[in-house]
Amino acid sequence: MDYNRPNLGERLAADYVLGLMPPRARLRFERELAGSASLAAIVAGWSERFAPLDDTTRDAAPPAHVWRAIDRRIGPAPEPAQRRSFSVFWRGFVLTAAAACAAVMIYVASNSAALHRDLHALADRAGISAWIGSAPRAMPDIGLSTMRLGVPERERPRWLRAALLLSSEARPLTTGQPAQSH
Amino acid sequence: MPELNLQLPELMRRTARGDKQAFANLYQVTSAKLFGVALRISGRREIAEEVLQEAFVAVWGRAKDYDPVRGSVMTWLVTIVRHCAIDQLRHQQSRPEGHSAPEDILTSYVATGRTDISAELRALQRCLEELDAQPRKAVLLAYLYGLTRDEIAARLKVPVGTVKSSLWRSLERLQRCLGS
Repeated sequence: MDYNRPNLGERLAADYVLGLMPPRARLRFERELAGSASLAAIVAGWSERFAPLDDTTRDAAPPAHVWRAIDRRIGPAPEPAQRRSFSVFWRGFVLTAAAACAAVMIYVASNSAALHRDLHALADRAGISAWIGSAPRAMPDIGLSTMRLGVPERERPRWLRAALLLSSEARPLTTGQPAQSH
Repeated sequence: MPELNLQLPELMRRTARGDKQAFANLYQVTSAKLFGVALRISGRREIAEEVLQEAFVAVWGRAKDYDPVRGSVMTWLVTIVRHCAIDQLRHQQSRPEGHSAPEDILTSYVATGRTDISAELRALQRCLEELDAQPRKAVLLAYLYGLTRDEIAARLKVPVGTVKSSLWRSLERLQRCLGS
């Protein structure tokens, strides 16, 4: 896309700042943004124009456990993932590589807090920043289907390879796991 | 808080170099504002907590991408939090209910006679008031609550094509009005 076309940069920057860009388009735009000082200046302009609206929002102190969780996740020695939970982890595991605030979004069909913790640990070990949430009930097992389709190994994103590698370390694996479907 | 604004670029520089103490301080001085923003969009406390966590993990990982010539630290942080909250919102089945009408937020805030209202906010409000009601609401619903064009159209009870066509014209007017 030619971001230098008159107005296109402005329009896209405004969409980006207003939050109207779908996640994939936003990722593409952010890649473009990283390499274009002029586009970045346009984005900065729109951001600063709307920023005063945030003054109307009341500050709210987050609970202390939020910082503790952040601190744990950025720590130099992330907690080792607990093996026993990987078999649980793969059951009903749904993932998409949709653009996230972080590098990857992972949905699980369970909202078990322990499972989510394990996924965070997994993401940390894989050296990625992941967003983990419960899958909407209506969402099919996209991740499972993708993996069953057999995406060639070298084309799998690094985090997925890491996840599969870690899963293979976790014994025993239960049936119905994507790692066994190849 | 002028001291805060002076501090933030330095805290970001140190965070980018992997200084965890600077990152902790950055969190300390910005998290209340950012959590407020996350709460506004997410509408639910536990989700806003998750959003804040994800956003700061992303900030830690991307701190070296921050470039002061591309806007203030706070604006950069708000952008990350808003996008995290919006991503989260897009994948929720139920949307937060009971958003105040966005214009009410703005007018009641400005009408309280507060003395700390920035010149920038007053200018923005004045320019927003020059827009037609529908695109003005569309802009506010998008920025304040992270609604999509489809959701805005549903909320305003107009076809989505109308939202699309009127929004950019209005943004151009807004840009001219703000003199930039």
